[in-house]
Amino acid sequence: MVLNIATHMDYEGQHLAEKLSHIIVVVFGVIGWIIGYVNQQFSQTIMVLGVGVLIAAIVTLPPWPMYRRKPLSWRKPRKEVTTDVSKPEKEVVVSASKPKKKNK
Amino acid sequence: MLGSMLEEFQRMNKRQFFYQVLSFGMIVSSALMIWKGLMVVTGSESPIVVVLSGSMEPAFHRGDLLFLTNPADEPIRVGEIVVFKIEGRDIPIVHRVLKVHERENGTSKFLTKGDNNRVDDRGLYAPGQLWLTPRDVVGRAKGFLPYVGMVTIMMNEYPKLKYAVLACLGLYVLIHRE
Amino acid sequence: MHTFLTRGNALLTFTLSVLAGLTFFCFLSTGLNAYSATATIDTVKVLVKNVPDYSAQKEKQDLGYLMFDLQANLNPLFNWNAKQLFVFLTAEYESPDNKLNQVVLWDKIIQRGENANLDMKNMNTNYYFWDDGNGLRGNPNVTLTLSWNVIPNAGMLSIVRGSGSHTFSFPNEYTNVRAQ
Repeated sequence: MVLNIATHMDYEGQHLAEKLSHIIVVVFGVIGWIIGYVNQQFSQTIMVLGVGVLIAAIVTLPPWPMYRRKPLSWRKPRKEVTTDVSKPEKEVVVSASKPKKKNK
Repeated sequence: MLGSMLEEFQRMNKRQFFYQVLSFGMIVSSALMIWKGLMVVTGSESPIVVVLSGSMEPAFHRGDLLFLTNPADEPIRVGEIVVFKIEGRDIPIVHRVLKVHERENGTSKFLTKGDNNRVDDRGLYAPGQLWLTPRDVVGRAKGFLPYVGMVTIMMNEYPKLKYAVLACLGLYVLIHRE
Repeated sequence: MHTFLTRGNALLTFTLSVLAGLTFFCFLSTGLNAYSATATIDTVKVLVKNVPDYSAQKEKQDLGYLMFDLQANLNPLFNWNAKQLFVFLTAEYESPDNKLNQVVLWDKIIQRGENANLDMKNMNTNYYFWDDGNGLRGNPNVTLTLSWNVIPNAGMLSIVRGSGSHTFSFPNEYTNVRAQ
């Protein structure tokens, strides 16, 4: 079900998403640690970290458009789909010079 | 997914396969080395244990991890949390020392009790046993890490899960190529 | 391979590592804490009897009986890595049989958030003060101390003995059991 939705990111998008998620989690972790230290409550550290994870999940898990800006420019499919016919023609030309190797 | 894994398996040649097996063995043996090394350093035959019962609540809950040491030259004192074995019981017990009596010649005996239990441990000891001696002690709790041992408890309670995880890990290490 | 699930998995793994790091730094920030405090202990009433301990040997053994006063403010010991104190009162003495005897007479679990300023009068002990033999009657040198075991969220389990102790002696005569 989930897998049917387009989840594709381009390569740069993948890199960006991973970097962003790390930055968000670490920043919230550090802030949470400081808040926890000041208030002397480690539970607050965990809660702030949890908020950070939630934000990171929202920002980096779905394939937002920002991660799909640089799609790979795949080579266009060749027009002559029925190349099966043309190929043997070329082969014949080559095979004229080295017939044994190609026939293997 | 399994199909693609098997495909990858077939694509490996013998040399790669043995390389994977060796690196798998490497992981297992280094884990063993760390464990044995810890045994030497801490002096405890089981340096890390998982709390399995609630008898020390609210200090320790099920699934908490304890780090043990057992220095031979340091005598056991009251208030320490010791892990000890009782004859006829498979699972060691983690409880606190309540009484210590130490003789002139260095031999000592002591009595334990769980923080959450109403009475001392004499009822848990082997029939007729009134005291523990340092020989019964596996280690003394020096470090504490919450929740981490929950994984092993889950695995022990659902053995199928354990085998599934082991199989997955093994397969992953064998097949995964760097 | 870079799907929703792999990204979620990576995020979870990374979060766990960060959490482990935060916990470790939390432990470091409190690692040097000495957890020391002062306790004032006094005995109100001291008796010794000689009766059989039916939970152990059948022979008669010395059974001490005492009431105590205790003041100690343990509130300053709590910090963000101390979830609980296990406080216990120990009697320590030498006897003809044993070079060292330690008997816990009273203990209390104080969790963080509970009042840790102890001020108690005429307290009874939680546990029987059985000697391992007959070493209590006339014992001139029994020392009471208060100690605590700090149980952290994660880290070292330290046992600290409070400064301040009380030394007392047991009477030279057994109290008649029937008279009690």
